[in-house]
Amino acid sequence: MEYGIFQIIILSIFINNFVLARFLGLCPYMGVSKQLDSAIGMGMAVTFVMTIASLVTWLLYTFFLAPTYQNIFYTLFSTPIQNVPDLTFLRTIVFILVIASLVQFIEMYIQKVSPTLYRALGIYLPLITTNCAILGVAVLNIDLFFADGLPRDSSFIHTLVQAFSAGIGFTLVLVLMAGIREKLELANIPKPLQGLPIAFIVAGLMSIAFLGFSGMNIE
Amino acid sequence: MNNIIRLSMVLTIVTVVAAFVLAEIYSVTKPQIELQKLAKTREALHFVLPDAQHMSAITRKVPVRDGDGVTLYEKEEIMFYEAFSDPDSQRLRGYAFKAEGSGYSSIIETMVGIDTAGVIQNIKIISQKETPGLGALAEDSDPFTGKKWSTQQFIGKTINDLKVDKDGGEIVSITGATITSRTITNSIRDELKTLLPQIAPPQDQPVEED
Amino acid sequence: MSVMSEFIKGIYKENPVFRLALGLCPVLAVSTSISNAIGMGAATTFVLLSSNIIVSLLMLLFSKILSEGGQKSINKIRIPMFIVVIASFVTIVEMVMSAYFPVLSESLGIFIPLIVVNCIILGRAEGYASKNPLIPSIADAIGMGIGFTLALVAIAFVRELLGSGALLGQNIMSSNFKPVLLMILPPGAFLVIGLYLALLNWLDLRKKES
Repeated sequence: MEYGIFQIIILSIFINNFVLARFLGLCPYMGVSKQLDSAIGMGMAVTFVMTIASLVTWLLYTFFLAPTYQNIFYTLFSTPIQNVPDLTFLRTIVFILVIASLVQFIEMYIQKVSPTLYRALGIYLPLITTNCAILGVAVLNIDLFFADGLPRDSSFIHTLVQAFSAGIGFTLVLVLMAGIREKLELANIPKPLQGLPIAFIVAGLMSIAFLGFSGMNIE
Repeated sequence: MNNIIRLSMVLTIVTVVAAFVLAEIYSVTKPQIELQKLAKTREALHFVLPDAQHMSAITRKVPVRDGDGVTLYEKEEIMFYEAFSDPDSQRLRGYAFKAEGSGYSSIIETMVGIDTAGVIQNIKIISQKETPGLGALAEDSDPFTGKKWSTQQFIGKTINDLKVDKDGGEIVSITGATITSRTITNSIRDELKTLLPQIAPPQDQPVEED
Repeated sequence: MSVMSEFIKGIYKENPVFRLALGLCPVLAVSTSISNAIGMGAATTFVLLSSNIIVSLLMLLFSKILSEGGQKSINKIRIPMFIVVIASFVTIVEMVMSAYFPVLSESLGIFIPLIVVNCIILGRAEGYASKNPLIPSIADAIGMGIGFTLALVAIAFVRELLGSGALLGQNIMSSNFKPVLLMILPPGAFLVIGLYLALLNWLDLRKKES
C-alpha cells in the first residue's frame, strides 16, 4: 500500500507538518514569525525554493547518483546496469551544494526578472540555505519515494507534490504563529517568559492542536 | 575572469579530494552495512518462527523495465521464506514474509511468520523511521498500562482478523499513532492476500515457479 | 587560561542551544530519550571538532602559501569550501553509524544528514575556526559540542522521565506511574524547551536584581 497524491498533500500539510511534527525549519519559524507580512514572504520563498530544490535533487539522484536505468552512465555510456557506479553515498554533499548554489542562482534570477518579487522575497532567500527544511525535504523524498536506490511508482510526481505541500504547511503554521505573536506583543506576559520562551510554549500548543489530525483516516 | 577559473579550480579540487576520501570509507563500511541488514533479517526470521530448523528463500525473477516498457534485465526478488521444523527440509512448519507500507512519516517494514494454515505465529517490525517516540512505540511491547499495544496481539490472528479497532477490527492501535498501527496491520493483510493463493497446500511439495 | 575559557564558554555562558538558540531542529526532534540525545550530541561534536580542525588548518595553509591578493580572492569561496568540509564529515558519520550503530542510526533518521545544516557548525567554522589557530579552535569545538550535548540531555532527561517513566531505557518510576505521553510527542519538546528558556531568563533576572 502506498499513498496517492491526495494523501501526500494532507500528510505533508497537516498530519506531518514540517515544523510542528517533523521539527524542520525551526530557525525561520522562530525568527521570522514576529510580523505577518514577513511571515508570508518567508513562507512563499521557502515553498518556492523547496519545490525547485526537490526537482533538481531528484533529477541529480536519479540520473547521476543512484544506479537506476536512467543513470547517465547507463544511458549515455551503455555501462551494464550492474556496473553503474553507486554514488548514493555522496547524497548529502551533493544536495547541500546544489541547494546553496540554487538559492544564489534564484536570487540573481529574480532580481533580474522581477524586481517586485525580489523586493518581497529577496531578503529571505539568503537565510534559506541553512534552513534545514529544504535539505530535509530533499532527503525525505529519497527516503520515501525510492526503494533500494530505484524510484518507486510515480516517484517524480510524488516528490514535487510532497515538496510543494510541505512548503504550504510551513507557510500555514508560520502565518498562524505570526498572527498569534502580533497579539502577544500587546499581552501582559510575565518577564521570564517574554520573547522565545512564550513563542515555544505557543508552538507547543499549536502542535497539540495539529496532533489531532493524526487521527484522520486518509485511506 | 581568470580569477573565477582559479577559484572554481580550488573548489573543485577540494570537492574531488573529499569525494575520494568518502569513496574509500564507503568501500570499507558498505560490506558492514550489508552484514547488518542480513543479520537483522535473520534475527527477525528467527523471532517470528523460533522453532524452525531450516529456512529457504523462495525467489522469483522480476523484470526491470525502462520507461518504454522494454525489459532490461531480470532481478531476483525474495517473495517469502519456507520454514521447516527439521534440518533436512522435510516437514513444512510455515512461511515468513516481509510486509511493507507507508506509515505516518516513513516506510514501515514488518517480518511476519505464519503456519501452513495462514495463522500468524508472530511479527517483528524490521525498519521504521516514524516520529521518534510516537510511532516508534510500536517496537516496544506494552508501553502503556490499560490500553496495551504490543506486536504480540497479532499472534493467532488470521487474514480476516487484521483490522485496527478504529476500523472496527480487533487490533488495538497505539494511542496517538493510529496511522502507524493501521499501516502495520493493513500492510500485513495486503501481503497475506497476495501470498496465500501462491502457497501450495502442505501435502504437495511446494514448487514455486513464476 | 584562555584556551580553558574558550572551552568553558560553550557550556553555559554561550551555550549554543539555550543562549544562542542555534541548532534547534535536532534538539527538539531527537530529545525523546537520553540515549538518542547522547548519540546526536556525540555525532555533532565529532563533526564540529573535525571541521574546526580542518578549517583552521586550511586557513593557516592559505595564509602561508598565498599572497595577500590570493588570500582575498580565496575568501570569496570560503563558505562553499567549509560546506564541503562539513558535508564530508557528516557523510562519514552517516556511513560509520549505519555500519556499526544501526539502531542509533535508525532512530536518529534524517537528522544525521541534517547535521550539515546545523547552524552551530557552519557558525563556528566561519565565525571562529577560520580566524583562530588550531588549539583554541579545538577547545572551542569541544566546548560547544559538550554544551550542545548537555542541552540535549537536559531536555531528553525531562521528556524520557515523564514521557516513558524511564531513564536511559531503564524503568525507574513506580509501577502505578502513568507516563505523560504528551512529553515524548512533538508538543512535549516545544513545551520543555520553552520552560527551560524561561527558567534561565528567570535566573538571569534574579541575578540582575540582586
